[in-house]
Amino acid sequence: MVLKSAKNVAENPIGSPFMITLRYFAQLRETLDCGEETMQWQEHINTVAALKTQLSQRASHHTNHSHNHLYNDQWQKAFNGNILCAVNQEIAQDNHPIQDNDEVAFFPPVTGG
Amino acid sequence: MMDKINSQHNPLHNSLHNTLHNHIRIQENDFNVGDEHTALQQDAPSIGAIVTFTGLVREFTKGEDTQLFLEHYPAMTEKVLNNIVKQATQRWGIISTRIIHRIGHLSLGEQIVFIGVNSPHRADAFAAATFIMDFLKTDAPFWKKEITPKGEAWVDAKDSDASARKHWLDNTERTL
Repeated sequence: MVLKSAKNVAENPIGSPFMITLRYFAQLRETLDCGEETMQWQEHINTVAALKTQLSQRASHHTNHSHNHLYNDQWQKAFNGNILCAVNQEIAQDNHPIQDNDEVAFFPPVTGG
Repeated sequence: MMDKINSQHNPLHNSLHNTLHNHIRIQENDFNVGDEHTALQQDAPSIGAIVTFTGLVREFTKGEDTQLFLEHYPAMTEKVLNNIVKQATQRWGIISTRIIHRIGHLSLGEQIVFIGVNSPHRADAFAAATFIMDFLKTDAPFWKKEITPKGEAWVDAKDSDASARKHWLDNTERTL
């Protein structure tokens, strides 16, 4: 079972940690000042809902952003708003599992055509 | 992304399955509708009907010089559009489809999107083209930003697009 072994690998300084890729689009990309990042997969962020909670509580020292206070607030606001999530390029609901190597994207409702 | 759609029985589908051509392009450059029409004709020279739709950049705010910026999520766009075409193919007797969507900066009046459907019968061609366009609007990961001299703003999703999509799932009448 992948989920069981993940923690051990993540804690192993020799082995490579399990990673997920996060992508943000449109106004979310602009608001968060981030288009793409990688994040270490952890046992407690194994669903879309858990990942959203984790990101919305992001500490202000997460990146080199110059407006730390504003930045923190923006993550909370962004993940409380009307956003969609795709796991490996397919729309995923809050209970969708997240595993090592997944690409998880967050974006507003689409407006093409 | 796509809901399960109630497929109608489609005897044409099986016999033509191997000859279906689906063509999807995402590009910054403009396209020529005439060339696309010719390509659809060449997919099946003896077929009965071609329906095409071309979407243009319209004036969002009256009297404003509107420009659009379009971005998308490339890997997902490809998956979603392929899935939409697959659903249309299962539902109607269509021979081939062509979808083009532009990205980047576009000015007022420019072509944004093209849908072309080739079928033995006009009713199937019209319905499939409308279906593909309705689902593209609600499911394909494109986002528009409107840029005017007064500033810029991301365009909000419209309820009318969501309800157009819903008609196909409910099998209720689709009003245009």
